[in-house]
Amino acid sequence: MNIKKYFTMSLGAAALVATQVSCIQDDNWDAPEITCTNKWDAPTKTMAEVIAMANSIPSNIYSDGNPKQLPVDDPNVAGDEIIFDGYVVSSDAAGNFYKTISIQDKAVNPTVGLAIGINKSMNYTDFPVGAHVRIKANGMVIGKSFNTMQLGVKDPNYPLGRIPESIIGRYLSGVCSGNGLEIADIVPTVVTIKQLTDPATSEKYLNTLVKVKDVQFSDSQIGLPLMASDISGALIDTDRTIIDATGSTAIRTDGFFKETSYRIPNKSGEITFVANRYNANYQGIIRGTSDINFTKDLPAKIFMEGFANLTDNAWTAYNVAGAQVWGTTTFGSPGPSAYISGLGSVNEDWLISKSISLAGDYSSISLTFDSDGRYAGNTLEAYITTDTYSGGNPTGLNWVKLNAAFDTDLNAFFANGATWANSGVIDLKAYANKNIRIAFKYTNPSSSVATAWEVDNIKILGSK
Amino acid sequence: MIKKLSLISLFTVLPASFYFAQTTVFAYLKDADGKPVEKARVDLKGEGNDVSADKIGYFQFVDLKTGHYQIVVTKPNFETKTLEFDITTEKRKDLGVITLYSTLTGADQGLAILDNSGDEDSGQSSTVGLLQSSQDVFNRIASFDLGAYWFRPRGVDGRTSENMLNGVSMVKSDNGNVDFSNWGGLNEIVRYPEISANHSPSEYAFGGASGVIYKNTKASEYRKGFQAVYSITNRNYRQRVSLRYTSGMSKSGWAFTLMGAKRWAEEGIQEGTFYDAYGTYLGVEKKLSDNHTITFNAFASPTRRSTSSPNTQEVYDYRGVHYNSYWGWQNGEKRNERVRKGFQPIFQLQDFLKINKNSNLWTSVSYQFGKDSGSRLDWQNASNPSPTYYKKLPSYYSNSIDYNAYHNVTDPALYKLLEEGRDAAVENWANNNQNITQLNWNSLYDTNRRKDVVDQAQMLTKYGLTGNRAKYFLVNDVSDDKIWNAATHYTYNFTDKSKFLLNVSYQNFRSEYYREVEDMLGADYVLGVDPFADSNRKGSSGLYDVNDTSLAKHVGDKIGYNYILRRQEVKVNPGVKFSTGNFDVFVSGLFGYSTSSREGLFQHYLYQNNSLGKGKDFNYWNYGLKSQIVYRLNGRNFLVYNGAYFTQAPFLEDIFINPRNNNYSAPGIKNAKINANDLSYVVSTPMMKLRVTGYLVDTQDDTSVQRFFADGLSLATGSNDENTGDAGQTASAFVVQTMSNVNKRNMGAELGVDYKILPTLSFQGVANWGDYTYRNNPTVYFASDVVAAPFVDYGKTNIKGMKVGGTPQKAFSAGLRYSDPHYWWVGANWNYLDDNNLDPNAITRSDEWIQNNASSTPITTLDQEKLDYYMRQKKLPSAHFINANVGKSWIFGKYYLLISASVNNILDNTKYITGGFEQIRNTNGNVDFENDFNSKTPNFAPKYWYTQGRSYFVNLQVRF
Repeated sequence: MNIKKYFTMSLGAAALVATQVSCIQDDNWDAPEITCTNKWDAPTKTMAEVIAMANSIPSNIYSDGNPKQLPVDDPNVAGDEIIFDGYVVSSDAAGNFYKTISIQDKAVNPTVGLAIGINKSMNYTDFPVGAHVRIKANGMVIGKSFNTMQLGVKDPNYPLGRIPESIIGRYLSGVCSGNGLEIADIVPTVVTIKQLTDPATSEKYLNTLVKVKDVQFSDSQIGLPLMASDISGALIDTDRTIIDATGSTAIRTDGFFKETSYRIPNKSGEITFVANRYNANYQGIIRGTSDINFTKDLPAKIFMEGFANLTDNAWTAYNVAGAQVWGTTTFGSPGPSAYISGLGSVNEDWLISKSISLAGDYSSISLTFDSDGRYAGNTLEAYITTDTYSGGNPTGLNWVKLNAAFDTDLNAFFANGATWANSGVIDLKAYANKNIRIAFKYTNPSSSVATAWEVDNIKILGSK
Repeated sequence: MIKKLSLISLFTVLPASFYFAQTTVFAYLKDADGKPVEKARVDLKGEGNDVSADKIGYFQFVDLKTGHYQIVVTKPNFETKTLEFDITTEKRKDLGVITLYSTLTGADQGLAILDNSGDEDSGQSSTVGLLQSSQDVFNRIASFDLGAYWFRPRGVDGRTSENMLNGVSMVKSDNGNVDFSNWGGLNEIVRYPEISANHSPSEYAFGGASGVIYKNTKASEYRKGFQAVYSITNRNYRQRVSLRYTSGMSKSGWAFTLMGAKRWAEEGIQEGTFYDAYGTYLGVEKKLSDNHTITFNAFASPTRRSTSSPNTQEVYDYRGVHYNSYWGWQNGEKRNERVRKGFQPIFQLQDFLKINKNSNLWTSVSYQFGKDSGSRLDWQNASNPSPTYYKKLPSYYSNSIDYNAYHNVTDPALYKLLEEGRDAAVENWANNNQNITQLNWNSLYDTNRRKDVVDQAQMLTKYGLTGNRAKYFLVNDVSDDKIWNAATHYTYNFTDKSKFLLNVSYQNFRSEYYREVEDMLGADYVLGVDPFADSNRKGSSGLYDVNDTSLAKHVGDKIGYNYILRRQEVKVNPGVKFSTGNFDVFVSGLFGYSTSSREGLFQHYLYQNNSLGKGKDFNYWNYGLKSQIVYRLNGRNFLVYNGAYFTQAPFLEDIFINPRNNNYSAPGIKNAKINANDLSYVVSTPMMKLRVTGYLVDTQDDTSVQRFFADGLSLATGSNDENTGDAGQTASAFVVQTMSNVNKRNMGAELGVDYKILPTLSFQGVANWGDYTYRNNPTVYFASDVVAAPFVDYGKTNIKGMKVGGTPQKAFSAGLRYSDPHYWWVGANWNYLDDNNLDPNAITRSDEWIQNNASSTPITTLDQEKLDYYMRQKKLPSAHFINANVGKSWIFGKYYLLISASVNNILDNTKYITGGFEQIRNTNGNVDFENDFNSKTPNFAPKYWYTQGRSYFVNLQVRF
């Protein structure tokens, strides 16, 4: 009996020991200690120097980028490595960058940017925005792809192709900071749309992160989905227009952009994007709709006129003197516009709006319009009145002249809106909660001296 | 070793109270060959009596009073035999010859393979577990020697088996599988069930087409004392220890048995897998009177193990059959993403009542509850981290080269580049650069911990969330079961030769399924939004539950899906057995009714009207009839006919096509109708056991569901990336392929023979010549989380005449076994398996697949010859295996010691594919498919499981 007990006990003990000796991994895993070592010690060139190695390309050649292969690193030759640093500014998390990464040379105040093609999606998980990367460009191909500088590899269909996934590490690596990838705070360069779209200034912004302030989407697109779809409902690549005081440019979304439900807001504010160019067209590529930081309500449109005709808004064209009278023309900014030319007689002609109510307790009310003139002569004049008017000769009414700027370049008409003159913002706050009319008074000094005037885009906007 | 003969049976002194009835009961013990079995121990239960049989196998009990008795005959190396009898007034009762069957076939080895089940990626369930020791000569050999290679008798779906434990069914209503890990390692407890093979009728349940296994684990039936077992093997686990103690029946009528077992491996045969499973059992038996016994049985078996991946041939060619893509290094340890954990204890009460001389009523109540979970890596808005994702393999580059060549691209620089890409990938795989060939946990953590200002701004503006969003995270797919069972088993003996049986059972199955976050891998939260929402439906919210406003999920939070499946089922199973003349007849019938439903706990954004709340009830009537007719040609030759016709309601997971998301059922799901017939000729002589059988099993209106995690799915908005030929936007996601109204025929012949060449040397052989084919072209439906429709109808799939996959259809085994009278044996056998096929992927053989979506006409580049070629079934290689086993037992005083060892696949054949599947994708048969198909290493090649090479099992058993 004792033997049995001992045996039992020793067997049990043995089983227990055997059980405990084994160390099967449990479910508790400590996060791994991550160490970081730089793949390449230091850059040998700046990004600008590498870009300068590309073949020069005539600015009107887009699709043949004439790419240049950079010299292969010869292990027997010291100092031929082409290594440069950059900071990632793009993110494909939301699908708007497809198999490319945009980098710029510095985190703040970049001087140049570049796109790299990688045949792999979801690159943001490896290289998030701000990631400090180091590129060994030996053997890579550099050149313009659709008029934007790109670094990549050979490809049959495109000027530059993408690096196959399994050899990305030959060309691209992160730069360490402490025990991880260095991630810098990218400060977007604040620019105007004119700076971005003027060929004289735009080059340095391409593939860098920029921010435009006081900007809105074009009025006609407000409320539309950011991404358009074709007749089957499939989402397509879409350009939407943003406008600031200096001009307009496109915000482009890829058909695979994931924020399919985003609608263009009825607001203005700041927008951050990676500047880009496709052939001649400038475009901005947002990383996500969080790049659209619009917080200010757009002003109410109290009165808008594009002069499709004079009847819809009941304009009164009153001929005080002369043979000619206000009418419309198919030209404009864009066409049509209101038009008058008094050549042949001495004229005084008024174009008087309907009565416009400025009721609504607006804290600010502004009037703007655009004008374009040709041939020397009298400048057009703009007036406002609060008097009632029921037709007939308006000269007896109590008109107050508005301080508006008119076109001073009278050499030619321009179809392009950029050369029209904007009136400047005319403050109408003094007329709040009143009914007003505005009028354009045309005169010419003689039958042979007459400026032809076009007026367009009259806007009276009210903000609460 | 052989003790001195003892002609006089030993017995202990009876209680003095028995004066009147003094009956002597006696019997002879013989082995299967008719030779006397000496020194067997015979327990008279409840009486504390035990005797040993003498040299001629004779034993007796004297001075027994009137009543009902049970004896348990045990002898090392023989199966335990339990026998019941009644004593009335006779002076001597002759129990006749009791035949004991040898167990020295390595029962433990056979049970070691019960762990293949339950990888959801497989789309098929292993039925190896159903092959248990059996007295049938064919089944016994087939289970031990062929079962290890996934041979399934008659090719019949294992889900049509019935597995009863203590009176109730252990088959899970959701998928028809039995979770053997619920009693894993407790081999001694569940060993020696009563088995009705194939579709033959059973006394305990109606069953299906692949057997009824019935076991009552009565605490008193185990051999009194301790038994310890220690095993070493090189399979899923490496070591096993178990210890059992049985008290024996006390004078006051109590008996209890306790057993604990542990099986474990720090690393199993497949790389990066561990195994950590416990099995515990408590059995209590109380004998209230001679006519009334109550048992309580509890099984509690927490298990943890990690699994291994199926792989394409390309991957095996680089890394061998033990390669597993599920693990990677973390802090110097191998971490496996797929960890299965289960703890679903079972509590069972069973009441055995002898109502009177002729009738017995057994009543069972059982409750099982607990969770079963499997972890996997998930990712959101990130690329597939699997090292074997097709875009990371060398074949992706070589296929791109072929693709460009096909499309007449001539730029040499491109080829140079792709070749560089290929060479880099080849180098990584050939040299096993484990940063590439295994999961890279460090990189996943690194990614999750990286600050990403744009992503954070996006999450803040869209969802108001702050912190680092997890790109990669671990989730658990959990099923939380609550299963009630109640059942009765009533028997009435009209005469010695005729018997009425009635089984009534009720099951209430409820299981809640959900996914939970298991580990955020260094991130601050997991975003609970469907990453495919934008492609699924433009502008949709992507919320798995539109009522859930807290979208930052943390460890333990439910994410993705959450629903309950319920089924209540009643079965009434009357039966009649009788003998007349030379006929033994057994007829069994079934009336069953089940009602099933799904209750969604999430309101899924795509199915807002069909996901939340309880869906409609799916009600099914089942009926069936089974019969067995045995014709005794003489005492040694028999003809046996088994016939069955029955209907089987679809299981819950078959009814609901995509239950994770919605209540929809695929059209046309109905009861399967099974018509099974076999005819056997059986010889049973001391020299030879032989069974030869022809069988024909027809299944109609079956439902076949395959669920996979698939790569390369085209998204709804996807367009092709002309540059590389891969679909520009593809996804890896869970997919379901359902075929309804499947007709199958399984026919063939079986032969099993056990022939004694010498008294000590026997020849054992089995042969199965099967032909299991699809008999019609069923309709196929496809569903996936990345396709917004509830399901897509792919039309008819052209699989008529193709083979049913998943088992070799031809199998042969022949072996010799030498059993020495001095308690040792050695055996070896040769096995051959052939005609194993991949189950045909229904989608690539469907009508829709050959349609050009633009022209709505068949794709012009396909012709009949090509179609025949592409749709041809993939045949898997045949294989030979040699197995051997050896064992010896000793008796030292009270101690009994058995050492046995077996080696399977001695020649280490690693070329045999035990199973696999063709990858399911929502493609059609365009030129790109053709190119991929014709590649030596297609991107979407079939994935296989290989046999795991030479394996051994050494068992040390001690009893005292």
